[in-house]
Amino acid sequence: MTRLTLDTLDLRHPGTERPALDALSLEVADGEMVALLGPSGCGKTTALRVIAGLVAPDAGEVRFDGVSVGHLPPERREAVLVFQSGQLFAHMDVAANVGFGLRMQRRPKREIAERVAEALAQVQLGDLGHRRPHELSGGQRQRVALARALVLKPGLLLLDEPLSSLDAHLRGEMRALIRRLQRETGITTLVVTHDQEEAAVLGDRVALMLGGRIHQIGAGAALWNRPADLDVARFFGGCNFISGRSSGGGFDCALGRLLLPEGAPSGEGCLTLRPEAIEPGEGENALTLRVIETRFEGLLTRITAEGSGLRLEALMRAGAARGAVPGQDVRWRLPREALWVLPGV
Amino acid sequence: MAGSRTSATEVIGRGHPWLSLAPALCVIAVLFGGGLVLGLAGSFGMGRGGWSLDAWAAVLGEGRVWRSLGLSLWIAFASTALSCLIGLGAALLLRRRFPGQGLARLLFQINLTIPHAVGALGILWLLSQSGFLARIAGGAGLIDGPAGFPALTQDRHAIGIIAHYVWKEVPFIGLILLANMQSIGDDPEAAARSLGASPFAAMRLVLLPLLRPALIRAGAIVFAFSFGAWEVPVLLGQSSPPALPVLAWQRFTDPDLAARPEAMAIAMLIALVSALLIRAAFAGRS
Amino acid sequence: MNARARMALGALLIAALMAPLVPLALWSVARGWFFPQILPATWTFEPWMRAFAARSDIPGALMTTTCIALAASALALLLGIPAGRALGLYRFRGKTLVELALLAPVIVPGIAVGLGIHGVFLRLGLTNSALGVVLVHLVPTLPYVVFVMSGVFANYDAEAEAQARSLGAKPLQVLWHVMLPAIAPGVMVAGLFAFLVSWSQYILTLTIGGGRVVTLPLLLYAQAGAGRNDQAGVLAMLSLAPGLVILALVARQLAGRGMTIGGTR
Repeated sequence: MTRLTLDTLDLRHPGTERPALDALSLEVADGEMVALLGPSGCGKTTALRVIAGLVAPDAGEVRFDGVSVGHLPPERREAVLVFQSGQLFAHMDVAANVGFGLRMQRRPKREIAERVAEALAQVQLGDLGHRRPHELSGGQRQRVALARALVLKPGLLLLDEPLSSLDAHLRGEMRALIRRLQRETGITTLVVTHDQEEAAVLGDRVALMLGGRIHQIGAGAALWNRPADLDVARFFGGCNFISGRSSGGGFDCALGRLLLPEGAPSGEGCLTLRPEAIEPGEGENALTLRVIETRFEGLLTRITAEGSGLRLEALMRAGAARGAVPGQDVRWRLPREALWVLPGV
Repeated sequence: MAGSRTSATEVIGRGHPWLSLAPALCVIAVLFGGGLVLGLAGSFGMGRGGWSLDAWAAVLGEGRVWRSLGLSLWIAFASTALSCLIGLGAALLLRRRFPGQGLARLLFQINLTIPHAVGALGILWLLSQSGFLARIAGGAGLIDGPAGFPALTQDRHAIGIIAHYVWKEVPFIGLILLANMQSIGDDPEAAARSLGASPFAAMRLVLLPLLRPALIRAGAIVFAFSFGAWEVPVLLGQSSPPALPVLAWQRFTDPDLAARPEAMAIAMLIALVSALLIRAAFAGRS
Repeated sequence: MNARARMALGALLIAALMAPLVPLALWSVARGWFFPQILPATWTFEPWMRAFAARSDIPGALMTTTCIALAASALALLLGIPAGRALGLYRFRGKTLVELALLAPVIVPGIAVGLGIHGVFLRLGLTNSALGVVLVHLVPTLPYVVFVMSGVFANYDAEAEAQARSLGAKPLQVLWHVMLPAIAPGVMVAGLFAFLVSWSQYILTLTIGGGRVVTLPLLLYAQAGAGRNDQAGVLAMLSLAPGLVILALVARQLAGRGMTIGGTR
């Protein structure tokens, strides 16, 4: 399998203002699955195309196992890209689609047939070899596209939004399949997605990409609860930002001194906490706040409350939110573990 | 994603669209461009011992040329107007379902595939004074002999020529309009109807304006062709004055080689009319 | 308008469009069909036998026309597919100009450029030769192929090629295994109609071929002019045939797209 290194890649599409890739660096370990997460237009698909060799970067290097592949055309790279749309060839049946790459390598017919059957079985489509792409459901098409890449036993698998074209109920199934196949084959995999949940479930690590570069990389939970900067916090739905000063395990701000978890950066900064982390009731870091507005959002209720001239937003389940009535005071607890400091903001 | 169009370049296109266009453009430049340039040079006497305006002076000062030009313009105007009108009617007729609609649509396309020479001969044998229609009229006792049948071919008003172009171009216009109607759909007219327009008003105020650009371009193609084709007037037209293309060919094949620059000048006149048409109907389109 | 009225008008329209073909067809199976006979007195296949007899010019002209049309349409496809790809897939500066430059040969009548091209070919030694006729037929056929293929490529997803490259296909393999199968129906339509356009040419063939290269339309007028109406009838039927076959082949694809450039000119 292959270790992937992206070394300060720059790329600007002609005629565009902002760069698509801005000194992008990333390291994916052998056999690892990394989820490249970002909003649309952040350059994540461009990054996949650069790795696959379909687009040349303006500067920087792509290395497989430490060796630069910049001079290799896409067909000679160890990497296979699975397109967002699946890109099944409409004039070939499923088996011919899956066997396409092997045919390009001029493998013997018998070997192709065997490996195609094996790959189709892997994605649980063993009996659909003679169907045409237009006779397949969206989920089946995506699985054929996956089999078509896996059959080549690539060193590196690049998946571009593999679940985005699927219905909600198919996503879970497909997600589990990708996860399982990656574990079984041990192929180094980079999967691009705009969906936080998908990134967290699929990736051993999640890399958040904003504006053409990686802002933070780590386990999913770390990005959620320990964002590296304001942009990361905002991307994950952070909406409570309180400026103040962190020192000696506490944070001094307009709301008083709040206790911080261990390891929180110190100095001037911005306190962040996710709206769903706020709990009603007494305890450590408990505050009195005046409720301004409540908004029903289905499963959760969004409550805006004010204290000492600062506004906080909380998301609570119906039961917990029942006590909040606009104009009245509530006691809210800001759990220490849910607080984090963005230094220098 | 932003990169999709860029990456397509890398696949087979080898960098730039101009490289794929170059062979075709070169062939057109050499054949078509070269033909125009040499035609123009020939009209100024090139290859006939020095440059001169003699041919142009002769052509523009000759009443026969002007009469031929007038005849060709008449043919083109009448053919285009009738083809557009009948073509529009045919498209409106064929767009709605009726028994046999599929067959009618199929047969409607046949004329597009028929060579003009074949059609012109068919029209001649249909409309001439001893033609098929005259024989039917004779059989019905309407006329006594060929002379009793009106002269519809090789006649002063070029009726046979116009009939041929209308016969050939009605399906062309009609199919283009049908294709456009299909992509426009019924919704714009339906919206007009629900706003209180009568069916006719909906067609006139909504559908027709939407069809206009396509109709103008198709009409320009018909005009240029009926203005400049040779094989139709040579068979169906009178000999004096001949249509402009026929006159050009007569000069070109004149045993007196001195007439060749005049032929080139007339050919350039025909090209000029087409250039004006392209400018009016196609240049500056979005 | 109700369905019955539409049916009647439709029948009238089709009858009018078919009418000129009737005397042509009748002459091809008639002997001595003169005014005021409405139908031939003698029905016979003799004109067809004579047309294909040993001393007839018709088989030779049939062969010439077919070979020229095949060569011209093959050349037009070879040059026109890449150009259509460029116009259909890319946006670039000067594209409108290119489209106008390709439209001009469709609109400008053959005689207007043919006389000049005759001058070009005279210098190249291409007049009075079948090769010269093939080349001059590119003037009407090539733009036609480019426009049809540009429409085909506008609906073609070039991402499939990127996918194929990533799956290990070399550029030529992509061309052969991915692009050509995907555009094949369009290539067929463009090729068949380029064939028809060349098949129908008159004045360009006459100008460049100088009467030495005898195609079906030229022979048709020659026979009709010489009063051999029965032979002209046979020639007319032969000239119609490929168009009808092609129409039957592509009728479905044609609806709404194929002929928007201008039919056979």
